[in-house]
Amino acid sequence: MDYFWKRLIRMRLMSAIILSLPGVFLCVWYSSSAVLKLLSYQTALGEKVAMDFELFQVYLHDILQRDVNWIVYSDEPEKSTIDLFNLNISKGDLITMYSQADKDDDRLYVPARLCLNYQVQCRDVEVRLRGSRHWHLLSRKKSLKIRVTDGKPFHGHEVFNLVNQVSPMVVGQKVISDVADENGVMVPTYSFVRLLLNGEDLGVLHFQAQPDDSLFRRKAIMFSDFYSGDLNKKADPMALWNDVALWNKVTSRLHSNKHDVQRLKEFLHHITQSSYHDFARYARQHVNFEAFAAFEAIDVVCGIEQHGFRENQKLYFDPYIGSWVPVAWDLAGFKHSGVINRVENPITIRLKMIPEYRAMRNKAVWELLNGDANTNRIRKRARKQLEKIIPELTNDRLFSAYKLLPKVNEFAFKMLRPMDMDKLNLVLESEMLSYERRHAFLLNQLQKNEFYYQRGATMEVAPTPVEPVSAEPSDSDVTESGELSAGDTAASDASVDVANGETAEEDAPKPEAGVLYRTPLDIIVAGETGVTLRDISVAFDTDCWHPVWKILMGNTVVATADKSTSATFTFDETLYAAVALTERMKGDADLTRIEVATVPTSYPLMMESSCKPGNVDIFATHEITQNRIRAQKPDAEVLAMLPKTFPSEQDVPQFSVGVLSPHPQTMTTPEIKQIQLGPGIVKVVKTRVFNEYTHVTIAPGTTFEMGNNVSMLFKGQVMMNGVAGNPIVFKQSGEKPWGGVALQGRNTAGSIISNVQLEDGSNIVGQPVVYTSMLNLHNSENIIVQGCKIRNNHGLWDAFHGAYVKNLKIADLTVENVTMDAVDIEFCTADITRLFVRKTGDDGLDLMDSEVRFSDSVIIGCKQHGISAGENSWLKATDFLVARNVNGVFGKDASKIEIGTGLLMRNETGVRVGKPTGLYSGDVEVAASSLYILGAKKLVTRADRKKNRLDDGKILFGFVDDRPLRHFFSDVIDISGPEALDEWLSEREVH
Amino acid sequence: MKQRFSPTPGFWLLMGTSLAVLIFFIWGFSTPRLDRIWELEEGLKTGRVTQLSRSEKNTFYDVFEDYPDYLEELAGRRGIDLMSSNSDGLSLTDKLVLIRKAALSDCGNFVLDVSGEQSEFPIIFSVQGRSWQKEVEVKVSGRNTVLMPKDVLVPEFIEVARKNNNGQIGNVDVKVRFCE
Repeated sequence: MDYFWKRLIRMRLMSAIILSLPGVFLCVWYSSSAVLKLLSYQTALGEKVAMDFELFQVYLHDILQRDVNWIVYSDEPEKSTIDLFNLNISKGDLITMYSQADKDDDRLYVPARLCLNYQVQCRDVEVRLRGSRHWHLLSRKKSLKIRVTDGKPFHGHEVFNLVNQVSPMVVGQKVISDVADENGVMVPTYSFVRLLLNGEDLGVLHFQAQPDDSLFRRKAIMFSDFYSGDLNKKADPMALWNDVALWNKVTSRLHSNKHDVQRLKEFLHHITQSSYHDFARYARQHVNFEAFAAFEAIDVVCGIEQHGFRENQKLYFDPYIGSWVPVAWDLAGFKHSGVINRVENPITIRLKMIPEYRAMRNKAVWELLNGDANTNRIRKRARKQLEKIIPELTNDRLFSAYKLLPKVNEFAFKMLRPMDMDKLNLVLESEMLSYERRHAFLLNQLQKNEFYYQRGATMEVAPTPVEPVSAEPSDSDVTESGELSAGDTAASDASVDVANGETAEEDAPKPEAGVLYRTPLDIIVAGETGVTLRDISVAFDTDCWHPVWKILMGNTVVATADKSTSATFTFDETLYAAVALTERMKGDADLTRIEVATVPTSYPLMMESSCKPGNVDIFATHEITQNRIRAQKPDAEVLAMLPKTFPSEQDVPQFSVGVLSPHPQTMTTPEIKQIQLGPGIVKVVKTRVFNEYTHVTIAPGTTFEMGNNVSMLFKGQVMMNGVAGNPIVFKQSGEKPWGGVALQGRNTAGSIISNVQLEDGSNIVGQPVVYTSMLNLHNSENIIVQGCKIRNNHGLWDAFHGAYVKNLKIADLTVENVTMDAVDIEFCTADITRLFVRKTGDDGLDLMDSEVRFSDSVIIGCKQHGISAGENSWLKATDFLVARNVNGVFGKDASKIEIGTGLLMRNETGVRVGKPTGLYSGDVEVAASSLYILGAKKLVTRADRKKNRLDDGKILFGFVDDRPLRHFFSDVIDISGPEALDEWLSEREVH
Repeated sequence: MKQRFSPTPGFWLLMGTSLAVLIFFIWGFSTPRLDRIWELEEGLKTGRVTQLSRSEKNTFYDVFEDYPDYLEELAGRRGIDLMSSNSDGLSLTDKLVLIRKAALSDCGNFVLDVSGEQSEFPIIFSVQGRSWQKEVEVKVSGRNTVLMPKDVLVPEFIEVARKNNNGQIGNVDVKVRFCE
């Protein structure tokens, strides 16, 4: 030992240098690694931050910790609970891919092979880097975009992303995506996968499907135009909204209009240039309030700030509804600041100036807070997701996150740091607590009572009885002049059913002669919620033995009382506060930090009474909680905030601090008008659109003589009251075909189309909505079509088209001699009975993503399929005859066909199932109780199975046992039995 | 007579570099100051940390001095905010920790909104700043404004704890309100 110390103490300089070198080398290695990492982070962030010991130590600590983890951690878990993607890219291609990191767009794809869960069969794909933020590119675990190249979608997706999601709340986005998805928001598929890149375990990445047609399929909506807008942080906040060229048209309904952005241009124009009135009018027709409200509610509840002026704007235009729908993208949240919207954008700002939209948004927020997004459920969801991926994360050596340093500056705050389970648990608790705070804050904002009234001085007016006040002419009295063609006979034929408008004269109390007292009562509504006036009670002196009084809003009597101290309001409109654009922080007028805040808004009432009133109590219904609330006395702050004037609804608002919305009463929807058309001949020389607020009744025996390409569109409820002997007829007025008839939108719900005959029409043109048939029903519910006939259409169009209609009932519909499909049903739930189809250029009944019950019907002579059930449809059919078609019944794309009793005669193929496209998950299933197939060249042909047979049930080849068909023979086609079938058919067959 | 060896420069070099390497790695592995601050901040927020030691407070004060923006972030517009675990101001811990800037905004005082069974009252709260201390006696449920020095020289943590129940808050809800 002595020797050792002696040698040590007497060590020569060279020996000491050599022995010191490894340590020095290690120090230099780690120091330079830390410095290099810091410098590359600086470069990526574009921020020059002075290198100090503080940051240096953080980096050094992290690098050392990561190396320790590298040694300590085991390989990926043996039994993975999430998909394992094994991606192989050649070395050269990998270098090419990485070299594209500094490009903002147009990055090159490189070829790769992708295997799922160690499967032998792998797929050819193309891969490129994704994202421009530092966490996508700096780490070994890079974000990738993958697209399949062999035409077979991967889990239904042709393009998807593997994202290095670095939020410390690792399951946050998944939880929010799930809640959004379950609450009507369009959000692409989101899950977790583990990635092996050329054998190297890169740990857990977030699988995020591209917002494209895969999303449309999953949400059961029509493939159409989809736009994406995303600018960098330094761009002018209004650039995206002023320049349509900055948007990317991701998908297009038709290949031919791939570059046509006219529709988006129109929307952007309305957002930036339209007056309050014009925008509200446009938005009520072409913006899906429900969808935007659902999306904004998720942003509000979850404290998301990713959908501002510049980023993550994804818009879809539904061709059959004719309205814009938002697509949710980037849902990082669970943050709280004391504001309702953590970020705004021009669409949400303009929409919130429309009172009914704000009410819808608030209702959606309230339902989330009390339902799927209550704190308990969110906590449970987060825990459940964590349990699923914790085994993966504990073995993820590259598991890192940002926001793991205090917010001393953006540089430190966004620094990527290694994550471990302790930090993960701490972050989860912290985020959940933030969420609880937000939840409590929002509940409080929505349920608090901000309903006030301010009483003015009572004035003695005159010792005369109360003068009745004449009512303003009501809108409902006005005929819809010009809706029918100029100079046509319809206007004169149209009898106008005047709505029962109450007038002040009818309701005016007749007080005894004496002094009249007038007392101004100003209702003030502030805060988020709307209120509906409910009742009012007034105290009078005891010597007033017969108080007679009324409350006026403008000239309209809204409450009356005779010998009573209380009255119920007859005015049932909801009153809202106006909104203004305010700065989130004093002095910060940055557009991207602008806030839409409510402004106390006054609704003047006047009380006229026979006695001098004492205390007044006004009660209203709180729109969100539905509680009865009492009007409070406003404090000075509320009174100080009352705007003195409001802008006119014809003004065009700017996106700047201080802008105020018009008084909500000027922004309300018009009253419903009633119009009656017919009977007799009505000439229609140009296309007529009856708006959402017009209810139309068409009398039996009305004949519409339609000009060339002229159509009629009903956006409000319509009652076509034809009867069997006296139908309503739509026909061409000259030699050329007319257009079509459409019922469009939610306001048409409950419409009836009874005994209507449509012939020699084609389709509707020149509208923002796509109409493909002579009779079109879009986006509605509870519609009845009965006893109608459609025949002889022109052009390559369908005869009847239903899209997005819930509870559609079709009975006794005859369709003959049409060029394409007879009945085309897309995204509907429908009952079809006693349908008779003869001679079509395509299918008899064509289903897409619909649920249909079909019975007692006949389809003959279609050039393609008698019945086609595609794209995830569910068809329950019984008691039908399908004859003389190419295919009797055709199924594809995960559809389910359940046949009770069916008769397929003389079709080339009885039942045919198409080849799986991979676009829908699941198999086609065809089952039958008693399916008679007669005279077919092939009984069953299946491209999805090895054997050509039904999945369940039996095929009968003759009428040995015809008992199941007896109802059909006797009650539907009225023949004595199978022996009379040939004759019946030959009389109706197409020769 | 034993021969005495005087250490060679080589010895000193080896010792020096070994020590430097050791210090380097100890320093590298030790928790960075900002990391500790982050843990404390999150710990306070979640209720895992209910009280800051003197050294922890000093670490915060040092960081506030080096990074004034961080203090702005914590204290917010009012210049004062509740850092300990709370739900919309309702304290979820026995002790309340607030942070305030040297200069408060106009509405910088805070209100203890106390509610509970009458048997719990009176409650005496000890309110302690960096250089000042006071007691607030609450006799009935309701709001009690805590008056503090309007301006202090440096930012400070303010700790509020119940004095007459072994520091336990008991069956009482305490909500901190500002600007009232």
